[in-house]
Amino acid sequence: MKIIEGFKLRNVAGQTVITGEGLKQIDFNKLISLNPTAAYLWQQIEDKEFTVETLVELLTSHYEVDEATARQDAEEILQQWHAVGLIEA
Amino acid sequence: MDTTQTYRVAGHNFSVQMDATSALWNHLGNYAPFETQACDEKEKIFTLRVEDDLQTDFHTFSTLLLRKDPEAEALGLEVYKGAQGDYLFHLSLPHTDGVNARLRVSSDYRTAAVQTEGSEAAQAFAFNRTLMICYLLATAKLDTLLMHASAIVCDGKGYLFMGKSGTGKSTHSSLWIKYIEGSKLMNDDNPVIRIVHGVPILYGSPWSGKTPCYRNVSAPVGGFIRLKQGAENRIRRQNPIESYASLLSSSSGMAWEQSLSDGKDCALQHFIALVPCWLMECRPDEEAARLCADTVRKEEPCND
Repeated sequence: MKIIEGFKLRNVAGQTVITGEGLKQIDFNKLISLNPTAAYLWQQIEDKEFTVETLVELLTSHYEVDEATARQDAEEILQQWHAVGLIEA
Repeated sequence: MDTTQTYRVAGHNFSVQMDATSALWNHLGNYAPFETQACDEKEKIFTLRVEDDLQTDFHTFSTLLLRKDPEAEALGLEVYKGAQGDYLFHLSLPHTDGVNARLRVSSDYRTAAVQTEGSEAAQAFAFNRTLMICYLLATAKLDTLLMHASAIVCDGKGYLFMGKSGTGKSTHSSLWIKYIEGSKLMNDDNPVIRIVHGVPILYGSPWSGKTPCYRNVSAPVGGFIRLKQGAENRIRRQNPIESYASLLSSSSGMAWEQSLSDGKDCALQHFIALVPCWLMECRPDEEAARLCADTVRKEEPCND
């Protein structure tokens, strides 16, 4: 899967948010707030094809976390991103 | 024989050029309060020229950037990008056949030309929207935002009421005017906000929706208030993310290019750092206006 075109990571008052800015997202009238972990993942997979495995690997190599927890977190994040229309298969 | 008229909106000068006998001149009453003396090209943000025979070779404008079909109330819009980095806009009014304005804008947004078609009223309407688009593009990087809000001025400070269509922005303004001494409508649909030497300023504009309120006045911004209909009157400060989201969704933008959206982001960040933003749930009554006025007028500007 990959991130849908037209989203941009921005820093608003010290917090990381996603805005829809490109032409493809001209009607995306939302602001998605990311916690530091989600922001880290986003930055690593921007402009790339990725799978759940990619996220699990990123999480386990960057944070003190076991694989099972990482997988659970990764799946949860992907589910959320999918629900708001940030990623596509 | 062409005539040129220069206007000044929120401190930004722009010119309109067209034949002295053109009927469009008769439809620019909303711009009259904003007329200013002719000035040097360098002091203008753009010049819009009305042409009878606009050259828009489709081979050079081959990339379709955006298409929005006309809807019940909304204008149809197509945007093409040309080989030289310039843009071509097609505007269509609802319930009309074909295109009512073809607008060509240079890549630096400073030079624009338009040809209008259709009935005189349709041409006038399309021309007005054309000027809004030119203004929006030319000010995108200038810490300036064209807002969708009803704005009042009270005791020398400007307050903007924002919210989805039908929320009651105009109603809330009229409640302030009725019950809060010293308040006056500044603009009922599209006021302009701008940061001038570090101070956030609210300006009236030639665009005011259905209410003909085209006042060439300004005041420092005292607060942004997002309105939501509610059973009770309640108001609270928004956190920075909520404030950013609130202003983002109520400001016009043509953010199809990185530089345009960066410009907008920069302006939004400046405003939320300088001006308190509020969320008000309200009924359309006197108490709502009093609660709002008592709360937002007490607040000192942000210090963070």
